[in-house]
Amino acid sequence: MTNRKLTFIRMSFKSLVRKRSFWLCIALIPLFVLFVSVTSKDDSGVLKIGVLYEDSDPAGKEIAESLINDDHLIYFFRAEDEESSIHDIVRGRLDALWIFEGDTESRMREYFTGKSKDPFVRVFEREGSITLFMSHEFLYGAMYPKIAYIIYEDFVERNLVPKAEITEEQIKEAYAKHADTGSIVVFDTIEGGKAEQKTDYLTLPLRGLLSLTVLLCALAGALYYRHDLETGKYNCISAKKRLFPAYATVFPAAFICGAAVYVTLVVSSQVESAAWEALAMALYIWAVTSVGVLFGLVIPSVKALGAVVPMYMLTCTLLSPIFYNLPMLTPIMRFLPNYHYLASSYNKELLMSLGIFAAVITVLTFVADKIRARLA
Amino acid sequence: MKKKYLSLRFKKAMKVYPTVLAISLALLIVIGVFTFFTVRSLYDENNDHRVRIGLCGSIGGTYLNIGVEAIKSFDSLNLSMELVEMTLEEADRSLRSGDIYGYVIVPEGFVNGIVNYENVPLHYVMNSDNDAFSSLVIMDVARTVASLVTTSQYAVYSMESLARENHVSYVGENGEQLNLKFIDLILARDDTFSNTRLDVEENNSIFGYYICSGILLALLLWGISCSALLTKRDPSLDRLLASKGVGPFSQVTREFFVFFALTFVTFFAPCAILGACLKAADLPIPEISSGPYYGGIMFAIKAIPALLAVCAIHFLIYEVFKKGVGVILIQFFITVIAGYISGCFYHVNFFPDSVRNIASQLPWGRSLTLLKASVRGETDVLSSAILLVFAALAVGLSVFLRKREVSA
Repeated sequence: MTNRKLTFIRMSFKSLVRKRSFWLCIALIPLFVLFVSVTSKDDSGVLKIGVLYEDSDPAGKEIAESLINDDHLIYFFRAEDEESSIHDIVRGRLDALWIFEGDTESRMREYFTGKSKDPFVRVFEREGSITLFMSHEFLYGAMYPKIAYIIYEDFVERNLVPKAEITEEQIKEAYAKHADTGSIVVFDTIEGGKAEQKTDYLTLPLRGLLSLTVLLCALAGALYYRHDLETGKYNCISAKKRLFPAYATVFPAAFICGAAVYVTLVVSSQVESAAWEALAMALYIWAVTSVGVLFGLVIPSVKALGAVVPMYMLTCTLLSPIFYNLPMLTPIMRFLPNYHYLASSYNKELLMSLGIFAAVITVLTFVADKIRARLA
Repeated sequence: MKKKYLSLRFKKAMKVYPTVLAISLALLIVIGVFTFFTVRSLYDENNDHRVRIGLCGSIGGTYLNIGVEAIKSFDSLNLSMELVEMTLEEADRSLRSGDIYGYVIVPEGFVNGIVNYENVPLHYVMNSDNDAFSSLVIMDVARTVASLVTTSQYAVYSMESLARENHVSYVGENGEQLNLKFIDLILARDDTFSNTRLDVEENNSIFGYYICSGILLALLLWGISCSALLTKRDPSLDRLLASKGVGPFSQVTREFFVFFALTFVTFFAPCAILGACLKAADLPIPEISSGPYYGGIMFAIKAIPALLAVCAIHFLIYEVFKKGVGVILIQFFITVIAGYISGCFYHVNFFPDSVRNIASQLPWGRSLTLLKASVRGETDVLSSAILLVFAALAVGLSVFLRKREVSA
């Protein structure tokens, strides 16, 4: 690289670090991550469900505690009393209340042996939603080991005991041998790795949100480039040689922000491998720099670019899998750089797709520049 | 001169309005698409768009097959999850193309494993971008559903081994009987608890909530759309205006008034039209369907303090960061951060109390509270008063900054 080009890059870095709005944005990155990381440790869940039980009811207590102690997306806690909890539901502070009224095991036994038809859990809840329906499955799932044993025991007593001498101990022992075989479901990723069971959904969008800031800074770099072009800064450079200034203006913005995001993610332990993330971030900086340059070349004025940037950013924010994954929109997502970056954190195949995306966009910038130079 | 300045500002506003409107419409379309798909996929209990989960592996000729049939007919889960039998290749292809959320593989020795007291777990395969919220919900449910199926199998094979050890005849018949009993039990599981639905006061429906959060997000982005109107020009013009008798206070208040008027007009018309259309369409949004046809107009009027506060903050940001590019950067950062903690992306109830308390004290969170009350047809006096104070403070600060600039 010639000295002139290096001087150009150095000047771009210098002019960027003098902008206070840019530094304010960079400073907001770790502050935001710190805020979310600290607050996410507080109790929270997609639903807040109170469980009411008595200490003198071992079965009810066991089921309730398994719900409270297990990691779920739903926040379960021990409710204090029925009246105030119902009041909380009515006031919108609580989603549901599950009440084990005492002597749960006997009630279950009577219910499943056909001696009673009375339900053994009382549920109060607000208006229905899919997540509330799903919470019923968690309730039933927590009760099911006990229920399954009662059904099994009753079946054995009715059908096997009259035909053979089977003791209570044998019944328990046979069940324990089968039931105590460890984890019954393993989560894998399609690429072959193990998928972690995560429930801390508040910090999950952090990586996605921070990737947006890198993209935004690259687009801001494109705006600076367009502004410089319109104010005549590059008049001394031939129209055929304006691709390099575009890269030299966009790259510093993407690089500084990318570095800040990378350090923040590593320091706050949001990534599994710092080396892998460094590689993914390097490719992502390349990709967003090329996207920024392409926008700067294709969109003919600062005003038009200023209008397109928010739309593109909003599309990247809402349609890529940051908050919700909408698989039906995957074909659109493939045009968004942050989609490839988010997907690349898990395996080599997808890291390569980020590299391919960056390379394709870079080629497009060369094509766009050639067309622009011919038209100039 | 002061009157002339006001009319000049209006003229400028009218000149840039078509651009502003075009940008805003495009942004609204993006928000609308996102809101529609999100609400449809996660919350609408009446839709037929289910989360599809593939099922492959050796399930034929075992009790597990019957168990899986039972799971398939789960009434409540059918609203959200659908198990589709497919080959491994089909499942892999469907997962990569986004047709299914994940697939369950029942491994070769699964049933034998249970019989021989060995742990041969089921495998749930998902996409690697499992950081999205919906993937976590599915994982949690898949874990619970899998435990229902396998626990039933444990019980069946425990009974069979007990029968075999004690030389009881008709082992297989007994196994089938017990398995059918479990299936009946799973299908009737909602009978095991009594369910009372309570009417909730001061609460919005999910659709009502996301309409309000979508409006707040649009208001947050409005500052970027209006950059052509608000971007600061040469500061010497402010000094010239001051010398002609239009002081910093008059400048700021007139500029802000024009900006707010533009915002209100843009906000009012769609609210009035959409309110009437949604009411006529009789969609499952109780706040709108139970209100009058002019509910949109009432909503727009009641939401004025929120509009004032958000506009005043946009105005202040432009007063602090005068350059076009920097201001867009800051605006977008603030939109994402404020939108996140105020509940524009995740429902505000998903956050812990500490975040909710902080958000409710900030102008954006308070604006959402006011919008939610307004869409219910209520008047939230406290939120309105707080938002008016925020608006006054932001405008006051803008006047102070302009004064400093003029006297510099």
